[in-house]
Amino acid sequence: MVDLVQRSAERIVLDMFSVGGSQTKLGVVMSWSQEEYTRRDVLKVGAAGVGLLALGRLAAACGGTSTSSSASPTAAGSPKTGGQLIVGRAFQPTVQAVGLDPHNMAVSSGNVYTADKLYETLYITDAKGVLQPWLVDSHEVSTDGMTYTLALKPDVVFSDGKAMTADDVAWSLNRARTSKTGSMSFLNFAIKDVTAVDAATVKILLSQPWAPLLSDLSIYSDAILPKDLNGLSEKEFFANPVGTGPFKLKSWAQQGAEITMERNTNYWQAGKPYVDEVVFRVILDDNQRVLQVQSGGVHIIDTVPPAQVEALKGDSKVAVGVFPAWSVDLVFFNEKVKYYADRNVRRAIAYSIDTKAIASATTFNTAPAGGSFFPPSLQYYDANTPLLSYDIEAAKAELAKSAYPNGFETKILIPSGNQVWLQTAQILLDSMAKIGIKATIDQKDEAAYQKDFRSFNYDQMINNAINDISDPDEMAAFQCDPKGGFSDSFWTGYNNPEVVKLVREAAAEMDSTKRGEMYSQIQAMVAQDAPYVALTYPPSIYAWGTAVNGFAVNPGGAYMLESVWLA
Amino acid sequence: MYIVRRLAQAIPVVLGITIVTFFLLRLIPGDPAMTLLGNRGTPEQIAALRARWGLDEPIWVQFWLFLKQLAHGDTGASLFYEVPTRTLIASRIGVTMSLVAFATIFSVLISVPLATIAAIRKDRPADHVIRAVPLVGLGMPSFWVGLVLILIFAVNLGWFPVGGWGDTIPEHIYALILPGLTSALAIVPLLVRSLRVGMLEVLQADYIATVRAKGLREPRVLLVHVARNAIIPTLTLLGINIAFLIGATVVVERVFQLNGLGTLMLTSISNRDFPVVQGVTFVLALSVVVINLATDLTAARLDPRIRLS
Repeated sequence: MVDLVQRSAERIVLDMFSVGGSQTKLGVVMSWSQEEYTRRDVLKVGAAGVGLLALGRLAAACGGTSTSSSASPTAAGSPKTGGQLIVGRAFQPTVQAVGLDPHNMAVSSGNVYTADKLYETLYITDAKGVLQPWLVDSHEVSTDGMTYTLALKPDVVFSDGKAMTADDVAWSLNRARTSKTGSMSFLNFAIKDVTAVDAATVKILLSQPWAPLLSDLSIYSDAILPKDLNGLSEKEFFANPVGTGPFKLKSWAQQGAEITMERNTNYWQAGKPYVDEVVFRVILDDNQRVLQVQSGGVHIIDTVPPAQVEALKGDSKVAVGVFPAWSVDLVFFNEKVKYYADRNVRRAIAYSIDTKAIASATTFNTAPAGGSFFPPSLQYYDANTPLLSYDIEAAKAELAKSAYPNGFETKILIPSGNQVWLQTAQILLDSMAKIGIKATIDQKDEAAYQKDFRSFNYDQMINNAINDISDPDEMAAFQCDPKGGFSDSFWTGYNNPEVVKLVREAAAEMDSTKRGEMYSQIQAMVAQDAPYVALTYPPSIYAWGTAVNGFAVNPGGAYMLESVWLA
Repeated sequence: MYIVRRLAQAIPVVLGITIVTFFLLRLIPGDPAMTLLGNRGTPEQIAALRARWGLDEPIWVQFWLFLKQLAHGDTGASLFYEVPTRTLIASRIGVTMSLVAFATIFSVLISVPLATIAAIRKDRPADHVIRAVPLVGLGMPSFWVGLVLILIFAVNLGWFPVGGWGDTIPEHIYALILPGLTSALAIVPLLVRSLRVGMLEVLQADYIATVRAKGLREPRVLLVHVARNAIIPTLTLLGINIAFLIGATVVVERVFQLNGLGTLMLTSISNRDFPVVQGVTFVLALSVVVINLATDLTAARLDPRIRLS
């Protein structure tokens, strides 16, 4: 127990160094007073280590007052109505209230997990990762797989009291699929048209058989809005948005640093939501967020640092939820660099990586070790994928077969301020050194990092891949099919015609057994080609006070709040 | 007249800083549109956003636009929030300035008594302790001190909020105590030492011997005659350090979750929200100039021997 607490104290120190790190960048563009601060700061860093022991003792004192058992994530008892729920989040929306347009906004946690409380989609992914009809009762597929007919739930009402009709649904989906500025519109490319058959029936016409369709409809950017935005301009409508979601926007303070939502009294699920109000408060600093939930200042926090999970589990006033996610941390190889165009080099590096060691050292065992490039929580994940598992002798043998048997010098690109990835990169460095590849770490701040990998200006990078829907086609197309997204196989240039063909066929295959076999094959081929190596499957980690009941996060990272209640 | 001349001298300084910031920001790699859109942003969307923000224009056109906006007292609309930078700054400057004010008050409240005791008890244990202990504070970065204070006074003792700003004025004051103390502790060691040395010099001066010989009581000697004369070098030092405090708020605000200029600055830099970074830099540079001027004016007021020319 105590050593866990001390380990977490150690992590706090590491986190703080990363704050200092961004301060160093500041010095470059700031006036002299900041620059002076930076120099002093550098001098002070050495001294900070001395204080480590002191904080460890302090933290131990905090931990000592609590019992060791942690509260269960979902408590029993009948739900209570009322109260204000405060959620502390690490992400600030990047849109003003006028821009909270689900069909046209940038994908960011701050935007998406704000919009999805106001608007709903026809289907949703439940906490177990299973697709569920939400605003729909049932669906029928034509025998050629080209037409879907959806029967809408009869009593769904918008927050302004008007009933949701097939016209609203058809208009919304057509607006979403033709949007030029929606980052997720690519998911709708197979939809040719959406029409209203009668008030409660919608017909979706496809340009090709398309297995992921219903999953695609669960993406936040296919949310249902009132037809023609109730006749208002976009600016007017999104300043005071209307949706079928459990909450309505009440106030939007400080550019989204604090957003308040109130109960939608017309919500179509009787008796829900349970809480009167939800406040989303942006708390950027990791330690501050954790301390806030421990002191009861906020009810729920997201993005709990893995290093603090154990310490939080020892706090009887707080429950910790580690939710599996469709999220994978990988090391990517840029095939436009000669070394990585060589399949044997990539395979050699893959063999040299001990993913189990990385998972336990960097994520404190909160994340499972990597294998297939599909995460285990994703449909059609194959646990028996033949991997190039850690084996230094095999790695040496692969490198000997390559065009660079004596190794070479290379760089690993990572964004600064990410402690987990920095440690991961250090482990990768050691692994590669064992087979004669001399790597260095290239740390850039987020904006510069984005610019570098998007212009293929890197050798290796650590990045995170996500799937937003319950169907794996999104991930497969984005990472394996150079034309499937816009990213040229996640900025690697990976192009195996056999894999590409399979990815496209699997999306059009309506038989789920056959689809499963195809995705197993894809996973196997990608594992053997090693265009990237899955390191860990990072979960979504949340913590909440014991007064909170019924909170859960789905593998897409979204959480519904209509069923949450405060004891 | 003097004030006008000093302010006029400040114009090229502040303008220079703003212009240098303009070019430095565009020199460092990274693109706001890419940052905003993230991994899922398509090249078309990125291009569209750049065009909407005018970032596709040649840099001299952008610079000309920037100068025109500056002439109207603004650095343009924030790229991320699409509201004028002026509005953003106005909504946050109160937090930062209150924090700086609190830090200044705390640093004076802590260092004056400590320095007085140290000076009176020169070379005795109390003096050594007062000189040594704050040095430990000097060796610790603010974010660290802040965290330790949060752990002790907010988490363990529950006397203060862990972070945040509150809704009412009493809540704001309450919320600023720990962050104010954190910032103050960074400069207290310097102030104590300077004030102590000043006091020691004054204590040995002939006029102090004279007032003592006149039979004035010791507290009056210290407060009226010693403190007033010793405070002038300290005041200058305090003036310089307030500038340092303004810089330090960038970190302290983050640790205590205060949405002030410092937090705005940090997020805007990592987002590459150019107009906001320029705007905040402008305001910070201006406040440093104004504080330096105010320090000089106060020093002149306290000591008529100082000539302002």
